[in-house]
Amino acid sequence: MAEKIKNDDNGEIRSAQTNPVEPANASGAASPAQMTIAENDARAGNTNPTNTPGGAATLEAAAKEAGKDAANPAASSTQAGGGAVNVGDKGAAATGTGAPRDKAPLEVQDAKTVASQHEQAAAAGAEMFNVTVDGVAVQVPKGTLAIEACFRAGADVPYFCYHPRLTSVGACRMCIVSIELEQFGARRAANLASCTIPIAQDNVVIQTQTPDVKKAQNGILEFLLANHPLDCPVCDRGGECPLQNMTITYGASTSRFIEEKRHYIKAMPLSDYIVLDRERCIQCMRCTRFSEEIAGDGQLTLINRGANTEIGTFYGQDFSSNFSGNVIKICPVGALTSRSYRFAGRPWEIKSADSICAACGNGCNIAVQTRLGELVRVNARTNEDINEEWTCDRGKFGQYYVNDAERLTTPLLKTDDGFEQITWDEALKLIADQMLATKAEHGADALAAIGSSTATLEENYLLGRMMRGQIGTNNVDYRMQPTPLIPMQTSIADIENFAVIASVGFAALDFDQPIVFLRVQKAVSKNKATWLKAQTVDADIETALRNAGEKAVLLVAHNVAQAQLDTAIALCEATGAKLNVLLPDANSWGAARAGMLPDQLPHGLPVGDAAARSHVERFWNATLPTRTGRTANGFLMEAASGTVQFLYIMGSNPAAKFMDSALAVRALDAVHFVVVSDMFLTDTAKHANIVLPACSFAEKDGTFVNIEGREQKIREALRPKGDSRPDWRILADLMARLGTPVPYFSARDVYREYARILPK
Amino acid sequence: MPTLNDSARAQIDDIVSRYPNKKAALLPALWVAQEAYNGQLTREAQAEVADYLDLPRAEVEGVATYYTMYNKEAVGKHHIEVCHNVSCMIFGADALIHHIEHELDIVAGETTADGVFTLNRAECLGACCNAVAIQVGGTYFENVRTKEQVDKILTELRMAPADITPQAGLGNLRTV
Repeated sequence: MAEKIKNDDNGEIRSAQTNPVEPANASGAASPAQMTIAENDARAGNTNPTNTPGGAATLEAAAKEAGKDAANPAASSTQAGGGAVNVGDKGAAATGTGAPRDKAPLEVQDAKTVASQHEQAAAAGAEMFNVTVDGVAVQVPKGTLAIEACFRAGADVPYFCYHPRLTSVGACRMCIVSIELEQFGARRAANLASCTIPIAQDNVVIQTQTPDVKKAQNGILEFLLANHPLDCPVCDRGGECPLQNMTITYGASTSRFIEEKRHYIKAMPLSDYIVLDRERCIQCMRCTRFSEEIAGDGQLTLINRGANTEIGTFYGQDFSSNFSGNVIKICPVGALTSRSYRFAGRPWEIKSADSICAACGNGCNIAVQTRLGELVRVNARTNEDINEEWTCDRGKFGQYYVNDAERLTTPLLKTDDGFEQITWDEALKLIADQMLATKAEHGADALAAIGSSTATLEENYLLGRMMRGQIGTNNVDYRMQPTPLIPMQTSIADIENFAVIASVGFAALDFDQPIVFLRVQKAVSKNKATWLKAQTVDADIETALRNAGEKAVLLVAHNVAQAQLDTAIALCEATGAKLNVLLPDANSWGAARAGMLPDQLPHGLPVGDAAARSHVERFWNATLPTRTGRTANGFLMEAASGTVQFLYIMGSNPAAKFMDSALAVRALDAVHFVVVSDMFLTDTAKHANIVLPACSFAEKDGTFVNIEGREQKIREALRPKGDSRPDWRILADLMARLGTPVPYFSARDVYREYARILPK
Repeated sequence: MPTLNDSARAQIDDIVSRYPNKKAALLPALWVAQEAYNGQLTREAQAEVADYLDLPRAEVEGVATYYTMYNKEAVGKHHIEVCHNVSCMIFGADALIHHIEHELDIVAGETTADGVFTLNRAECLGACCNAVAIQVGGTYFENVRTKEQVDKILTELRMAPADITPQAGLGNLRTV
């Protein structure tokens, strides 16, 4: 093949490549000018001559381009390769069929996922087979699908239904390639859907660019488009749609299907979050497989048969899965789209910031996407150790509060006539004066601060440093609910490897700890694990754990009764089972690490230990208080009784969320001066003397520590709303006014200082 | 309000015991449910089967809507299905269907106003050697060639012996 192509006189092969779908080509016989371009393109590495847009100007430009490329085919091959995998260029060079087209981000991600799966399999000692794809040799583990071998070799295979995390069904047929393997004692090549053929023998030879393959792929695409409305201009998927992308490269420029297409209601809501357009659906079954295999609830299915096949829920019921948002991302067309992102922007207008979800403690990697200063959507990013590539609906659709018109935008001072707007200068001066006066009059322990399990590590750290270093009290806490600080004994990813999984005390694991739930679900569906659910550690769980020993893991909710927690700890110690106590909030661990505990300095250094204190004192240039502080419960009681005179509350809402909220309300009423920084005028903020407008997680930098203890960075995706400021900046400004100026110019500055304190 | 009674549940249990998993027993379980729900596989019937077999409800709907032999809509007491595929067509199935339509004053796919008869065109019933084949519930009528034969069947059905059309349990073969 390679030799033939090098021979430029071989017109047969060239013409077959340049015009693979003759009947469908609208222009019929190509004009001489077009043919020249097509030929030049074929030599220069453009595999897509039939889809070159018409028009004289474009043709001229293309001719120039092609001529330039033809003069230096080697250079053009590498240029056109763009971001594609390097080995792919080698493959193209070997066969001479042209450089691969630029792959879409989703395709690149799928290929990466496959590579990481193969690394795992190889590390686990899987049998390896040699596969040759377009002349490029790769080694893949046994059972690899042919399409995955093509990915590894960097070859260009179009696909819709294949997904590296779902079982293969061969629904769309787009990934047809020529596969030569040994069958019944003879080697033969056949055009097969590569996502359905596992590599089960050595020396399989795959061709992805032969004329036959191209013809088959183009034909399939024409079929897929027969009923597709091609309403890309009004489709939310436009611009990042696999079908749209493939249609640019494959298929005919016009359709032979002139009959009426099938019609359905265009925008049918499946739930509050998802809209279904059945006309656009190509029945690839990605969403139904996701809901059955990954989410485990099987709420989406194919209904009816044949030409009437459609996606739906059971008799149109609400699509109530907590993971419904993921089907938007895996849908290869615009059939499943988001209601909240509907007509809100185009992919190319959107700015995206890599961040971490603040909705729970799992720490999903997300991309916060904004347009014109508003958050328009949240997409998952891939992190194999945490969320793979999924999010829950709370993470995906629950972040729009960031745009809320009710957000606080200026500092507020409580007066007899209600709240009055003041400037930051006035607010910070009032607070600093109040703090110093309270300290002078009633002593340092008359001040207390409540941090937040949803604020960043840096912010909790600064609040702790201000209260300890500048005021001189250990009265700091952030725990609104019982927060047993027992580190997880396995990672989130490891949970899928246990044979017995017990969960205790969760109302619903898929809503309380969504990503942990997905791992449990994976263990059950892929590894046939047993999952026991209970509210208490009962006899069944005890028996199962005793029988399974080290192959068991016990997941415990953070808010179980202390007696239950003790039972769980004892049981795990006795049986060898792993114990995972799962904390609720985005930074439940980070706040503790940052030193927002009455008995702990940053990094868990004990307040009572003189050496630890002097270690931190060196960095803080201050004398630290020796008396252990009171917990939130303690200082709120003191506040209610009038001992505590000043309360600084950062991003917490004790009036609503504290375990004894009545006590919190009494304390807030009784205390002399309350400062609350928050995004909204919460129940707590209504009690405040000064309310400071704080930024949401999308408007600041910082660090979250997830339930496993993994530190991850959040990034500023939006400018702060109105005159709101991130808490770290509010605190840095306040600390400067309290005396010793501490220059912090960014959250990173704060993090560096925090990291320096870590004892070596 | 029909429901899966104890005997239907016992039947399903028996069917499940013959398969490696519950999912595999879905098709026969749906037959049982259709009979228990008086010949109509309603939404409620599908939900009940799904819950009983621990399957997602949507999956059961997908299966039930795939097979035209499950009656999602109400059918009459006697569900007449006339094969109109090649062999039967050659032997005059269309004429017979038109005759039945005329006799019952309905078109294929409809149910008579009194709720006694439903007429449907059926795809191949597997009786090509004895065309034309007509299925009424669980009873096959084969070698039906003439309008007189059809009239005889209709008369017999009008007399309404309930036992002529058992829903489940095939093999009740009749010639006219």
